Amino acid sequence: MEEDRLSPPPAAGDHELKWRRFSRSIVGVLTASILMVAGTIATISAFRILDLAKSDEVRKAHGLARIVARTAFVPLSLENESMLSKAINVYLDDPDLVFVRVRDAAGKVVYEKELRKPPKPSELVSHESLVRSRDDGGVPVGNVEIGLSMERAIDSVWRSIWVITASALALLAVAIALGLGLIQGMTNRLQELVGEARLAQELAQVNAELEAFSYSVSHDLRAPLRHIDGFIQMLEKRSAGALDEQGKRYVGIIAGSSKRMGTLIDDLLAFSRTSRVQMRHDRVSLRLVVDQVVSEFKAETEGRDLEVRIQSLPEVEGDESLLRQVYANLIGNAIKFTGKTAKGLVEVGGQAGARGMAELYVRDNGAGFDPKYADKLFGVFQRLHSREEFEGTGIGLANVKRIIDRHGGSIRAESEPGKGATFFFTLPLSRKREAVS
Amino acid sequence: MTPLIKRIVLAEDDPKDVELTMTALGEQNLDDDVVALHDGAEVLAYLRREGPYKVRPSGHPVVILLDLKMPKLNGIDVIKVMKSDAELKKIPIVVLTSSKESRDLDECYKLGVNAYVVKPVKFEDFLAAIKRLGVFWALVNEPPPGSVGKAR
Repeated sequence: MEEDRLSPPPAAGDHELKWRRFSRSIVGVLTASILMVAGTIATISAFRILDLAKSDEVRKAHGLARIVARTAFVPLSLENESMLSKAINVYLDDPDLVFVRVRDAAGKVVYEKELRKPPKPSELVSHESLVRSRDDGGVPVGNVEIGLSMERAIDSVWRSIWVITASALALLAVAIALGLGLIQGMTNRLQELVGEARLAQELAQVNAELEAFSYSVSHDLRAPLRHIDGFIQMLEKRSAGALDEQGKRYVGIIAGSSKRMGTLIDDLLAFSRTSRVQMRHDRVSLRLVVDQVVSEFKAETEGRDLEVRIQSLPEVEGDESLLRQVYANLIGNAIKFTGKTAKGLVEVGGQAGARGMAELYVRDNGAGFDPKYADKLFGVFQRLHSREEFEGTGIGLANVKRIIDRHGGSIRAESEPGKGATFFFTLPLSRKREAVS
Repeated sequence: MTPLIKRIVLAEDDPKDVELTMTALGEQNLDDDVVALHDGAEVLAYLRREGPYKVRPSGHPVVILLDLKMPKLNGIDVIKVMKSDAELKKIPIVVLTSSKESRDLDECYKLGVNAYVVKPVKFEDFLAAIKRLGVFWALVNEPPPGSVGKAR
């Protein structure tokens, strides 16, 4: 259920109008409440079914609240009948009004106006508000009760529904009258839709198979790796003495290779998951994401001559866990490729740019790459450095690009060998919501 | 002499994983306290003292370390059966599996497991994780009534 404020707001802080929308269409319940200055508290609310399509309903609600508010500003005396009836008069031409009753603090009825025969209680909406005096610091002086009949209002809703139904039937009749041509067109469209549905079904099936595949990969490929690592360690513990230097080297290579394969499996699974998972669209603070990623690399960069500079970062709209992967990869790369640089510098920042996009960058002064191969950078298993130089699986940047693509952004890189690299990318800015009360 | 009462049930179909897990628990001298079972059906037979386990001493284990991918009845099936049994649902279950798949994670916790542990690929991490698990469940945690004794 949505709640909105009706505009324009009337005179300074004296009352507030709210309406609740139960659906996107025409029916609402109006609440007009008056918030008083300190010392005086008088709240009068009117509940009624409101046709939001009619602007005079809204205007009437405003007028009502304003008059009641103005009346209530004056220290209210229950004896002052003219003032009360002025406040109440505004209801009088309301066909839904059944009665208005004012009681003093002792509960005695001091004013009563009954306009219609009271309907059954189930058809009556009544509201009671407390009236306090301003002079004696808000001591209750009485109650105002207002009773409204819902009968008529509900009638008007039914009428609206009939109108809609009738218009829909009329539209249908027109559509039929348009004849075979239209039906032919509709049939074609229907066939297209069926085709699309079939395609979607096939896609879903492929997706399910892919998921089953990656599930079994993550289970079944990890197990043998765990065994290799486990039994090698046990071998080293038990039989290290029996191995000569060459034998120990072999064992080291086996252990290293199994470890590498583990990383490769994890990266590939992350990559395949990137395109399968349902993407979230949340407001994401990149500053928080980057802070967290940088702190996770702390252990790795300890003792290195490396500065990580975090500049201003905007809020974007997207999937936080995917965006964390983007920064983990880009910052991880920057840290890796500055490994052989004296006075390494990694800089992360960005700002709001054109067309609702955030323009972001991750820059380093590390090894860089030959711009000739820039287009190969984001392909799967593409590596521009030998394994001996820098460790890596060649999946990270492909994953980064895929995530940014899914967000509707783009990424490119600039670099020269030995002069560092900068990754520029865009992500949708978080849309500022309209003020909602 | 009464046969030894095993306090930990290890449900694991892969003998290599059994050996690695036993090695880890052995570092805490807990390996004598473990019975290794190889599929879900065997686990349920053991817990209910059926078939070959009719003669085992009574009492529930203090914890079940449960692999998810097993022949016959898999881990999830075992959890479902245990949680629908008034007696067996008291036994703590630690899922011990190869990978963190979100749907497994979700389903296991929905079914009411006590912990979910991913077996680390790196052996040192694996050792550390299993040792910690063994110490916690066999020595630190107070098992539910009806379990075999806490410390021997």
